[in-house]
Amino acid sequence: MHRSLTNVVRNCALCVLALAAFTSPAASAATEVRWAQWKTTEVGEKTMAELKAAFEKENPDITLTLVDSPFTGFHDKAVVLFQAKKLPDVLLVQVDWVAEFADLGMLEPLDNWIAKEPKSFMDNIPVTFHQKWRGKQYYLPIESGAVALFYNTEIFKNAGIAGPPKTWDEYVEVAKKVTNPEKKIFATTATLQGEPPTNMTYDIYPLILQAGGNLIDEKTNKAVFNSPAGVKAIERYVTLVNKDKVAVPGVLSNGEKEKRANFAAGNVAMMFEGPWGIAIQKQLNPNLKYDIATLPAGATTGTMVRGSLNTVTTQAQDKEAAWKFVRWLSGPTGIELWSKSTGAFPARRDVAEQSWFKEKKLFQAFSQQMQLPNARSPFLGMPNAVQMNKIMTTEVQNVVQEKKSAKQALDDAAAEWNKILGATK
Amino acid sequence: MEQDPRRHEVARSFRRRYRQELQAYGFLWPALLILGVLMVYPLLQVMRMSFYEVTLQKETWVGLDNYAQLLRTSLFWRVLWQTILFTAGSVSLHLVIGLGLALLLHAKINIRFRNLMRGMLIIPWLLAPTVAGMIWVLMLAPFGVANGLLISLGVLDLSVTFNWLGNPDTSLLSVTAMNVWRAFPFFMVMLLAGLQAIPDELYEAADIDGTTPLAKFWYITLPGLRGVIATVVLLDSIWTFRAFDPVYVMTGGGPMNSSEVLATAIYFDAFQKFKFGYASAEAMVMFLILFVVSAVYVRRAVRDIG
Amino acid sequence: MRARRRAAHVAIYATLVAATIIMLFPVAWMLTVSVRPNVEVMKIPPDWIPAIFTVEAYSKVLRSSRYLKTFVNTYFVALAVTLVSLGIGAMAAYALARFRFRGQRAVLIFLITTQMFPLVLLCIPYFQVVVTLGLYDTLTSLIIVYVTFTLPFCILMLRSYFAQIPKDMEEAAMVDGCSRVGAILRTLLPLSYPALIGAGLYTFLLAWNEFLFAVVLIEAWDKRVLTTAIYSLLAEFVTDWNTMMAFSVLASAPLVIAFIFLQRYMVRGMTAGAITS
Repeated sequence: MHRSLTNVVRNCALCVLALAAFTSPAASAATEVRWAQWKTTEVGEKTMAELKAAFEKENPDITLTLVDSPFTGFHDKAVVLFQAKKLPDVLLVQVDWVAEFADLGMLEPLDNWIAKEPKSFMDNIPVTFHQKWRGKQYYLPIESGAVALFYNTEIFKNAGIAGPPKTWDEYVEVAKKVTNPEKKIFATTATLQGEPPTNMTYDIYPLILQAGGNLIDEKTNKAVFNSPAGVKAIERYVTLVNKDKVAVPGVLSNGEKEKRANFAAGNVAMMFEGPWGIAIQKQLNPNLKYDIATLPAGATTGTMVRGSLNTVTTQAQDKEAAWKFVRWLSGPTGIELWSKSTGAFPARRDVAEQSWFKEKKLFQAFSQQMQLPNARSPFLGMPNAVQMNKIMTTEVQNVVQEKKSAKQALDDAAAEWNKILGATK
Repeated sequence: MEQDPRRHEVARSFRRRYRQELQAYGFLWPALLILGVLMVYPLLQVMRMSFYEVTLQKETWVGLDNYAQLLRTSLFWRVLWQTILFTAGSVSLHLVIGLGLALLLHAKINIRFRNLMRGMLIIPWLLAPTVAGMIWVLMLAPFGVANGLLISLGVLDLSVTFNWLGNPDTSLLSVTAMNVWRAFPFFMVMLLAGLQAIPDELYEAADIDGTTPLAKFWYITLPGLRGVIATVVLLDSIWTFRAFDPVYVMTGGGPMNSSEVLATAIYFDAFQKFKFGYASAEAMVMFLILFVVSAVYVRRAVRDIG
Repeated sequence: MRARRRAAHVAIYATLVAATIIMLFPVAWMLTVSVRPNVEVMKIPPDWIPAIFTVEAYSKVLRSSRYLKTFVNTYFVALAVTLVSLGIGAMAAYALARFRFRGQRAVLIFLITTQMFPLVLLCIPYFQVVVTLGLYDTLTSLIIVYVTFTLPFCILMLRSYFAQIPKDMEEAAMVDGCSRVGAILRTLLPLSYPALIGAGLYTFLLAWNEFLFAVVLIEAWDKRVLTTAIYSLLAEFVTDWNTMMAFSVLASAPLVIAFIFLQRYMVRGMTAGAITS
């Protein structure tokens, strides 16, 4: 019996040892910069490998490791990784996440490093991306862009439509004309998917601005979208979806992915999308015939400006090396390379003014859209933009489901927003 | 030091008296250690956290607040109701389909044919719920094969492409359908084994008496299967009630929580909203419900073990 | 009478074949999508037979070192879990089958109850424990977690099998000078191979197909297992259906093949696992 016990002990010890053998961390290389991003899934592994090679050639002392995760769930995973103390050195974020991540203590302020750069470094970055959070600059953009209107020229031609709609009324007219459910063609993909709540940027916020409304009043720091203009915007949206039925079925579960897939497949005639959509369409369907125009105007024009931003995390192993990479990619060389290889809209004026970019016809609509009134980026000043977008999504869903009137839903959303805005004042 | 003979004696009698225990636990302890550390400790931990507000930064004692908030939230009751619907729908259809196919397989048919059919019919059960869910997401897409089939059959109008998973009225139904499809083979196999255990003599005696097939089914087959049916229904109810993968993979609980079940709600509250305390309270409620249901099963199982 | 019986016979065959076709339709669809180009996947009315046959999706999976790594990871985790649960499980099962001891009933009740645990309940504390131990994002964490919920099942199933094997053979071996462990290894285990295979297969299946903990405890691509890798294909910005289905076919094939050869044991495993007595 004693023998059996010792055997048992020995066997268990072996098991534990065997398990432990797989847990020992790998020895880290001299300087490795780990970059967590979702771009690999969008622009392909080849493009990213070229970027890595270019960076490492200029910085032979640093190895760039790409840590890629799909965009869906990226935000939540980042917070979980922070909890697990495994946050990579450089984290790519959306404009909506900066304030939240900074408040959680995930991001390192970049001001001290930026101060050491020549003045032209920041001057060439669009002013939208000079917005600070609690007095600190936490990010640098790698690409930017405003939402504009993509339209399928083939479908337009077949329906006998001359050009892109310029006003809300023209839009409704065109939408009804192209919609043909028998042939599986719809005017647009209405996207009210709750998770991730990124669709407000495309579907709802621009409409509110175009109706003459605003999201947050800068002086009072209160939500003001429940104005008559805001109500009008939502009612128009819901009429298009529910009454005119010009959108692909499944508005409550459709998201950016479905929107892009439908456009690439020629199932829809139009979509609201940023310049990053060009590269995505090229991957999805290189033969698609489409063009890009500015968004149709209501009482006025309006669009959302977004971007992908690089940040240095507080858990970075070597913060100096991490900054080197962030600076490189948001500097003239990096932005030029990134824009050329991925087809992104450059987040630097010095690059956007280069002749190779000016020759790119498809991008002109975005440049125009940026010049028009009300090209805004409210997200960088929202304390918890993800949560606020979620609230708005839920309330607009309620209107589509006819559970609430547009006014009621916007009032409820505004009350929730004000709670968040008030808590962080 | 001098050995105390009496102490030696005590030790020996102790060893003799507890011989069985010493031997048994000598073999049992690794399993008990693992399960103790990884089942009991986490359970206590969840219990503790359900009384705290746990955020990413700190824990604050809140007493029963999480529970009170839970019971006041209408969404919780809705999710509970949907979980019950999902469970009841899955289990009852598993039983009907599983029993039907088991009876067919038990009929006097070629043995090779029976084994072939059983082998093929079991395949859905071998697939990971993730994979099964993906197949159904693909099939149920607006332009997918399910709509294509329904349009060809004339059930759907060509002008409507229905979004099964994206419509709040059909999302839970669609997930339930997938779950029925994936797990019916378990019932089939179990009930077939149960049928094979019913002595042939009973049927032969009934044949001599000229009993109708329906009566045979009612008076011989069903009573013979009672034990197996009770076991598989209980087990399946527990498994389905706590199921996470089908809903998470197919709909993520949406749209508008229309297909949310307890397991996914707990997951999202914990790992998306980072409300660990509230999620723990939800988990405890789920645990208590399962505990009551499984008490029935445990009593049966322990009785069987004797 | 005979004609009627024959008609009934034919009806049974026909119903079974029809049921099998219906039930296997999703599997067949998975197979055909995996050999189509992506543009052909969403089509109304659908093409039942692929218009263009291509294995591009399979070559995409098999040529990606990242995807292949998930196969290696899954095999490693599932095999480790199976071996550990069978080893520790057999020991515990032996104790429960061969000895009468105080606490036996409590242990049995405990084992049965653990099978009822809602796994999502354990997610939150597991995440915290795994993070504290520095095991987040390691396959070890998955192995440990999976063992905790496959172990009770293995113990219960092996216990019922061991109990049916007479003690005499072990005792004879012990009289011949074997230790108890030696006697077990030489007589009991060889006799119980059907139960070991059955429990092993079932454990392997559970570990192979598990998803929840793989989502919570693993992030890095080079540590992902098949279920999470397949799911992340859905989460990406464009769904490559043919690749995903090819991946799913390759991920399901080992279990289906294992099942074809070991059907007998697996069925026994399923039935014994559920009835436990």
